[in-house]
Amino acid sequence: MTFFVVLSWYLRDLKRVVKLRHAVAALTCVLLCASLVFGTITNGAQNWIHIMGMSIQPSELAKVCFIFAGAASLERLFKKRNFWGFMGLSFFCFGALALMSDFGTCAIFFVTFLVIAFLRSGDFATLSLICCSAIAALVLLLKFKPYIAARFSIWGHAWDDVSGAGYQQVRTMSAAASGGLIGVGSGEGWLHRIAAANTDLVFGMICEEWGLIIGLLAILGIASLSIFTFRVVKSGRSSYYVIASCAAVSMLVFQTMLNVFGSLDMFPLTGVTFPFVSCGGSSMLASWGLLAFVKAADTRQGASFAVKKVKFKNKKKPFRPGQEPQSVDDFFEEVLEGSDAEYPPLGRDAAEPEPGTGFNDMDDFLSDLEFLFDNKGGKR
Amino acid sequence: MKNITRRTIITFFLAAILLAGTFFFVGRLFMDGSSWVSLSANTHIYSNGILKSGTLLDRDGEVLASSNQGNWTFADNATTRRALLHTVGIPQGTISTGAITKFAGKLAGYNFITGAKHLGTSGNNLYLTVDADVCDTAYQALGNYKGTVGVYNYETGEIICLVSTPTYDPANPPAISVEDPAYEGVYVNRFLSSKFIPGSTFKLVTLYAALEEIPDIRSRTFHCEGSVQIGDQLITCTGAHGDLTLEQALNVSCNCAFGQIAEMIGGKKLAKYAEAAGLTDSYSVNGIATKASSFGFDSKDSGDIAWAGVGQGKDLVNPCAMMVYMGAIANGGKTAVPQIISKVTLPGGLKTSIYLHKKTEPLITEESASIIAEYMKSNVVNNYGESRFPGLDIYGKTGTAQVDSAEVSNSWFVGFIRNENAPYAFVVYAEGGGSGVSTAAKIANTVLQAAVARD
Repeated sequence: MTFFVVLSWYLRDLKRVVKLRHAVAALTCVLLCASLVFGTITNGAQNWIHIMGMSIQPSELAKVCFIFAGAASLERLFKKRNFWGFMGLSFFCFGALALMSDFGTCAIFFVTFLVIAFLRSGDFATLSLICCSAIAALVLLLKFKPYIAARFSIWGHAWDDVSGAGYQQVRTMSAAASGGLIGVGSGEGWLHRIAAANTDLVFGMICEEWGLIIGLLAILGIASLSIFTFRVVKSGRSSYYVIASCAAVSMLVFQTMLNVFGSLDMFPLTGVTFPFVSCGGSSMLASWGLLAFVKAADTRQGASFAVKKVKFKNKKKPFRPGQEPQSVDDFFEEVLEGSDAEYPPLGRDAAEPEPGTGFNDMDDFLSDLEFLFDNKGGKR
Repeated sequence: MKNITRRTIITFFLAAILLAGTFFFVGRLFMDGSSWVSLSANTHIYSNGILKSGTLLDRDGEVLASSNQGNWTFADNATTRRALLHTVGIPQGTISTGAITKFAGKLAGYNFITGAKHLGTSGNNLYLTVDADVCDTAYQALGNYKGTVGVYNYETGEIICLVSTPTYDPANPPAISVEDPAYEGVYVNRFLSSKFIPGSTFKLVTLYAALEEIPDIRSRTFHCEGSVQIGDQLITCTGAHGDLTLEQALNVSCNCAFGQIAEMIGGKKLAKYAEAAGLTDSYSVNGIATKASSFGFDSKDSGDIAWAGVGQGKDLVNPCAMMVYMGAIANGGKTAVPQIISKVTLPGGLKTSIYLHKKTEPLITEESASIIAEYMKSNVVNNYGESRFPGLDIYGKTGTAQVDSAEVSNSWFVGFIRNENAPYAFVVYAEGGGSGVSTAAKIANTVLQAAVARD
């Protein structure tokens, strides 16, 4: 939470971001290297570091840094040096994660990389080339890493091996089905006795104890962030915020996909967390960090602390998708009272927020939705 | 900048995949939730691996097995307990296709809304389609033979009789040693989960292929001298049949004639027709997957193809799939998919689910089906003797499958009866029963008489 506020506040000023991008890129590398050097192997992946009785997963924090630095380096226009810098950083990340055998996170980085690259270039040819080489890499990987190959071979056939390779998936499915729509009650389930139930298999646990409805809402919460992003970037201050928020949402959505579908045998089980839901400090920190990028792109007056405040409180409650607690807003305002208003509020592409940009009430939101679907049809 | 903003649509794309996948999951949950819940690790409905609640009944409401807080009791009649061991299953789950194991979710009262939490108190009543009395008769008719008897209604798909032997009394389980030949494959449901050399019963598939592929096959004649050399193999017959029409060749089940027909058709096409007849498929009997049959049609030697065409060699057929094929012949193409669940009710009697009768794909053309049915009738009239089946309008084909390792052949009888009230297709298989006519046909008659009488 604090991380979220601090990061959101920091992201207010593009100059600060740009200044720091090299440092953050380096930090990404350091975090991943730390995992490689000091990490202990848990469930086949070397991604945990134990310090003073605490265990952290640096690759989670590296996600935030990756977007921070990745979006910033591309923001610096179409300079070749920046582009190659980003490529270098990306491939370093893929490589380090592959060495750690953390292929779930590796896939998340890859998708985020693709999203950033697409936003920047819009070039499908290059992207498909990258995808092809990624598939080739995957094939090689399956050959040399039997632990991954085993997960792939059980994929889609979990019920054929309920006590072996499909152990976790079938139990997740069984527990999820047992919950029905309304769940058996908190703590009344049995899935929590299975290893990784509160992280990798957490969707099954939600469905079992709280029911399918809550489970679906949790997914919807993440998915709705994409609507939020799509909406706020229209008044986008700078392509940095657009890219960063879009990449962050893509990362959250894809991570949710890997987590949920992996545990239900619709994807190979990779062992990533469900943002904001799974147990684990590093994961929570990373989720809030990613959310900060989304918030930073938000330029609505009175609803966002990511821009300098011009007008005071809007009486109506702003539309608030996803997992953000209501109280956060008030909290931000307190923070803002003491915050430094000297900084120039907007970045290079700064624009005054257009009137009616924010979702001030549900009607606005709905009309925006309509507009949005029209847009999808390609008419505009 | 504008371009970039437009490209943010990609986040929608990802979110759409997430939502589509979630939707797919909900669909699967709706369809398969009950079988997911049946996982024996699910402590909502199991305690120590034993299902806590539920009652299994036959179609007439005779209790076959019932659980009270995990204490299982079985049918009162010892013969019924033995006859339906494989259909009912045992609480320990050793018989993997048993109803107790496969339908645990339904028995415990699983539903989509409340999940594994039962609406009432003591589990659901699950009515199977089998008739306990007919099954008792079939078990007694099988006697000491290992084998299986299956009878189903080819109009509705209801399995009336499903018996697999060897068996034992689940109320007083004997000590069973793995090596004991008397209990060979005792935990396997031979009807659903096994495949056997079909012997001459497979000629009904070769005949189908011949009728479709060789236009003038019915006007051709075949000559049998008791054996014929095809490829590297000597195809042998029970005797020298002389000159035969196609119908006569089926009546006497002439290997030489059918070996030659198989050679004419060729392995690839025979394989195609075995597939078309639904034999290579695995059927889903209310979610219980049957074993798919397999054939030896990929050999380069035409002699091997000839043996495969008469149902020997590498051919292995699942009894259930064979029974469904009989239903298809009786129906002239499509037939009912076999079902084992009649209905599920709450303890009060309120139905909780609907089981629609499903049809297969067309397994055979209408024209071929009527010719094959005609020939199967002719088998009964001209060879087996109608007097063996008093009062039954029966169509059949025997099989005497030779197994290299055993001295005595395995006895088959497959077919169907036409009867408005009792449209039954059947399969009887008795290991070591010798010729099909002497053993399996006799068992079939006993069972069918009981099945017809019940209506």
